[in-house]
Formats: sequence, C-alpha cells, structure tokens
Amino acid sequence: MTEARATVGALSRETLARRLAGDGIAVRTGPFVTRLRLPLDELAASLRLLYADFPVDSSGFADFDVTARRLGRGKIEFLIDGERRFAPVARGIALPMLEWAINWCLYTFSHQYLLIHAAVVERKGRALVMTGRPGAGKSTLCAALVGRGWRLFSDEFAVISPDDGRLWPIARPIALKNDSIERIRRLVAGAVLGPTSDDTHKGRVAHMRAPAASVRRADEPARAGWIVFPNRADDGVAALAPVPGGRAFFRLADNAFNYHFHGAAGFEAVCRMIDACDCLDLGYADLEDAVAALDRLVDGEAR
Amino acid sequence: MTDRRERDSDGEARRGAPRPGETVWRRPDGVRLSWKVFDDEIVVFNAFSGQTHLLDGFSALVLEEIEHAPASRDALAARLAGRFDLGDAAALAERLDAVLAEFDRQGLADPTVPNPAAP
Repeated sequence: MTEARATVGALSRETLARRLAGDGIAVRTGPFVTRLRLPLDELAASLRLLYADFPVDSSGFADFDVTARRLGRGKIEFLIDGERRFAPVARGIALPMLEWAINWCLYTFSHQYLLIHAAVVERKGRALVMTGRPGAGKSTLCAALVGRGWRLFSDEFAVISPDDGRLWPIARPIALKNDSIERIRRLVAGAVLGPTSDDTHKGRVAHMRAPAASVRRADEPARAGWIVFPNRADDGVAALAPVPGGRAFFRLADNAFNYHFHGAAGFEAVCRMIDACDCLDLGYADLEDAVAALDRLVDGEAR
Repeated sequence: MTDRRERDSDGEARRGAPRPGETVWRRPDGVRLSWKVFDDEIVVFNAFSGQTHLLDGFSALVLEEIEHAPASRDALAARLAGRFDLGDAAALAERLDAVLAEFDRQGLADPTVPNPAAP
C-alpha cells in the first residue's frame, strides 16, 4: 500500500483547522512554499475547498509566511513574516485578502524569476500568456480556457526563469470578479467556486478551484508559444491580429513586476520570449467566441 | 550646398575631425547598449541606466553611428543623407536634431565640445 499523498484535502477538517490555528501548514504552489497560519474557521473551510489538491510541504522551509490575526470589531489583518504589511480589513473579505497577500509575497520577494502580470494556460506543451490592462478579462478568459481543458498555470503571474525562459505553473485558484463569477458558473460545467466576498476594493470576488490535473502537474514548466493581449469590445466577432515585436516587448515589460530588477538578463529573457511566440491582439465581445478563437489558434486553424 | 559638397568630398578624414568649437555627439561614459531588432522596430537596453528604448530605423541608425564613433551633427547628417529619403537636407537636419535632443534627454548621447588643447 502506497502512502497517501499529503495534500490539504487529505487533512480532516478538524486537523486542518487546528494546524492553521497553531504552527500553520506549508502549502506548495508550484515552485513556492507558503506557510499559512489562519486561525479563522471560514478561511480553513475555504482553504480545504480551494486548495484541496495542493501538497502540504513538510520540509520545514517556506518562501513566505502569511499569518491572519483577529482584531476587534470584525476586523482582521495579515502579517507577512510576522510584520504588518497591509491595513486591517473586514473579516468578510478574508479570503480575497489572503490571496492578495500571497500575490504580494510573490511579486515582492520572488526576484529569482521574471514575473509578469499575466494569465497563463498551457495546451499541447506550449504556454499561452495573456497580459494587458486591468479589466481586459484575463482571469475570466483563463477560467474559461481551463474549463475547456487547458492546463492552468496562473491567472495572475507569468513566472519565468530568466536564464532559460521556461514558465512555471502555480495553479492557485482563479480570482473572478463581479459579472465574471456568474459567466463562469454558466460556462464551465462542474466549476468549483469558493464563497463570494462582497465589498472588496475590486467589487465582488469569488475564486475558482484549479483542476486537480493542473495542480498535480505544477512541477512541469513549459515554454511560451503565444502572447495574447485581450481587449474587450462592445460588439464584434473575436479577432486576432499580429502585434509587432517591439510593441509586444514593451507591453510585456510594462506589465512585468520586476523587469528592471533583472537588468540585461531581463531584457534578453523578454527578447527570447517574443522571438519564440506569436504575439497577437485579441479583440472580443463574447467570452465563448474568444475561447473558440484561442482554441483555433493553438490548433493552427486560424489567426 | 557648397559647404555640404565640400564636406562630402573631404571623406572620412574630415568627418572624424570636427571644426573647432563644433559640438560632437558621443556615447556617454559607462553606457553599454544591448540591441534587438524586431523587423522595423528596434529595442535597445541601456545597462547603465536600466532603461529600455523603442527606436525606429532612423533613430537606431543615428545611435549606431554615435556608438561607433563620436560625430558632429553635420557629419551624422552627411552619413545618413544617402540612406533615408526625407526630402531635402533641411528635413533631414530637423529630424536629426529632434532625435539627438531625445537621445540627450534619455542619456543615450552626450553633446560635447572637444577641448582643442587635448591630445
């Protein structure tokens, strides 16, 4: 009999809550290990739902340490490595705040990688990187593509090894906002969504659980094949149009969290990425239409 | 026009020898550039400043000339005249002045007046 894989979901509800309220548990998300100390029952329940398939790391090492602390009057705060980094928030938005706190750790501390604000999915061994302005629909497209069988890397970060250009998956839950929550519920059969948090600074937020298959393959990197810049329009058929390399370069660099940190190595990494990819604008009005266009792109049927 | 013909006919020796008091454009000390050509767009990384710049073909050629060797504005204009169809010499000079001013602002080129006493 093989030993059961130590995952968050393998822990009983009581054990998980007890450990989160005590020394915490270290959760591995791709190349990162985050120690979580969350003495809040609702966060324990959300973690058990959304992170069920993620490995619990027992090495004793963690890249980040995230602790939630109760304050008075329905407020909580999050500490990073024991230090206050954020203003207190209402307990009702604890889950999105936890996700943002983990994101903050990644882009603040993880300079061994070139980090670009992007949604990344993979199919046929190549990664599709979607980046652009906030509100362009990156996370929604990401969730819809994952619902169609693409492998989830991240809805928030392209994690790139600057020396060889490989992208690393994280496969954490996908953050959906406002109308996207219902759109994904309708579009993705079997989507598992966590609780909806109202009144965040981004409106309503709910998180979609990553497919177990994506989480299991979180140690398999991929090279980028496509860089897509989505743009939502009021109407029209989804259309892909080439973007010149120089402009694509600046759009990527502008959306990077730490391009300047890497200096010449970052410049070379972005150059190699542009060289290796088809760079395309995606104009779309309808989510399913956009997903079909990206499916066709990867199948080589159309631009 | 006479002045231009004289400079052209003088060839390389004249180009490398600015007139006394003439401004020469040169690569600033410490600047190291990495280049990447994407069709007609050129991206240049300046390791000294950490800045990345997007250049068109004309600007890239001006920068390449300055990186190769310091040159006066007139010498640059002479070298570029046969390579870009910008209408007349005045249009070329106007475009060149704008590019050089931008390079000065971005730290990609320095306008200097050589010291005649220097060896």
